[in-house]
Amino acid sequence: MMDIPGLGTAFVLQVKRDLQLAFRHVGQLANPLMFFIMVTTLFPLALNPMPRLLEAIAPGVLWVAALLASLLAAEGLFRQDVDDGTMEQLALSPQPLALMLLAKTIAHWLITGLPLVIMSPVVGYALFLPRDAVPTTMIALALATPILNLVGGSMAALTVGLRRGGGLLSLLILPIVMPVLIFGARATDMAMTGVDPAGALYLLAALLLLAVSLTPFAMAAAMRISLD
Amino acid sequence: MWTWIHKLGSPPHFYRIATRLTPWFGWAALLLIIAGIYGGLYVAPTDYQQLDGFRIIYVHVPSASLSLFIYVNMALAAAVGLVWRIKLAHAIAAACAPIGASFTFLALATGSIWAKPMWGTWWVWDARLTSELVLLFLYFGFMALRAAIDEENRADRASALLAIIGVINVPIIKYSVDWWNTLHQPATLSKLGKPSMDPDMLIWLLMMLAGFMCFFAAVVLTRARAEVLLRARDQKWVRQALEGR
Amino acid sequence: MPEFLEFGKHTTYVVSSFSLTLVVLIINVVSARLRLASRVKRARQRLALEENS
Repeated sequence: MMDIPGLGTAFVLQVKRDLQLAFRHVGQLANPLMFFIMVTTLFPLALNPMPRLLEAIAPGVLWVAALLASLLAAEGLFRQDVDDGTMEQLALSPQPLALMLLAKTIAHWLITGLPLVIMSPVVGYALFLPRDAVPTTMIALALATPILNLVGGSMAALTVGLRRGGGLLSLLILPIVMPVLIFGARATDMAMTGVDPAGALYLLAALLLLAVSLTPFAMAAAMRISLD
Repeated sequence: MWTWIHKLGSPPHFYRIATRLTPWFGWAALLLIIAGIYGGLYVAPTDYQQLDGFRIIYVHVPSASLSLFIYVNMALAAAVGLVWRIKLAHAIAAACAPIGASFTFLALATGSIWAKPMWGTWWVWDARLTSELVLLFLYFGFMALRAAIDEENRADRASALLAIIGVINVPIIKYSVDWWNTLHQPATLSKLGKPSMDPDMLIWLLMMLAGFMCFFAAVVLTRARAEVLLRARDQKWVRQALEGR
Repeated sequence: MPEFLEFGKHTTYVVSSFSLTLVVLIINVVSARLRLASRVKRARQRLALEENS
């Protein structure tokens, strides 16, 4: 009787596998990050580089750009695996699908979300974001980007394999992640004006906990519906 | 009792009952809405603060209530369809969506029109307005997802899951005026406690609410019949049902 | 403006919101009935085809 790996081992193996696969196409990895950087630098270019104006819109621009970048990333989260049949094998395996999809999403975040967090000081600099607001923004992004990836993953699972995808995925994700956008931008804004951003950050953390506990099951249910 | 429940899930039975009930709800809706509009516009006393502008409440509040009520119904029907695999439930959920979206749009539009003279602006990004807008997107997403999936079974089940995921927005809308400092006023009607409105004004609001509910019943039954026919494929009952018409 | 549509300084707002409501309600009724009619028609056509084949 073959040994079935324990949950923890299976989880880590899945994350590793996805990371290894992703690094084979390093070019594609960078897409969401490049998008994030481009969008945020387009604003200073398009508007006059007036520090006060840019500073005023910096939270909004930064957060919308992060949101759009995660939307872009969501598109490709499961497509490859569904296309080549790996997903079906995963669904049939003895490991809980919810856990495996969570693992995939975490790997996905490490590749597409974490870089955004790391790059945010640079992007903030281009947008004249005050130095004091940067740590808060990084924390808020670190909390928010996984939520975006988790919700993105749920909707991606729902729409995987559909020909006319495109705007549909964004339409599905945006309503659900609006609170994230609101609280994230609020946190940055609060840090900019010197108000303690703890409230907004706690709310983001709560949303993250909610997302981590619920979305894997939604993803698994959605994936099973899509694979049927 | 199980026979009754089993019968409920039977499309031909539903089709028959829906056909019979629709006219009743339809006429009730017409009478209630006409009476409500007349009363709301001409009989209700003028508000001393908002003058005649407050009369918009007679279309705004019922629309908003229906937008939430219909979504909950849709999500419930979707859940029943998903868990117990009852096609009729999916048909009902599909029927609810366009109606719910209409009422959500109405709530937003009439609210915006009301806001202009009262708050001085067409829109403000407070918690209630924003979450009602989110509700509209949820309805659109539901309908768009259905439209994007050709295979009926997958369309039903995928949109059902989406409806259930989105239900978290409903309590946010409902309680947003309690949880946050919003520009939008707190609830006029609540289950406990006295309503904060004068009975002379309240009666027309309740009448409009009842009228809208009957309206929803009539329209959803009609749409559900269409959906049921779509899913019927080659079943004999269709012939009988259509002969009866 | 006919007299029964006069509502003080808020006339435009009141009239437009009520008219919008009526329009949306009517659209819902018409659209639902059209849909049902077209489905019934298609079902009848299918049944006729089956009978003939």
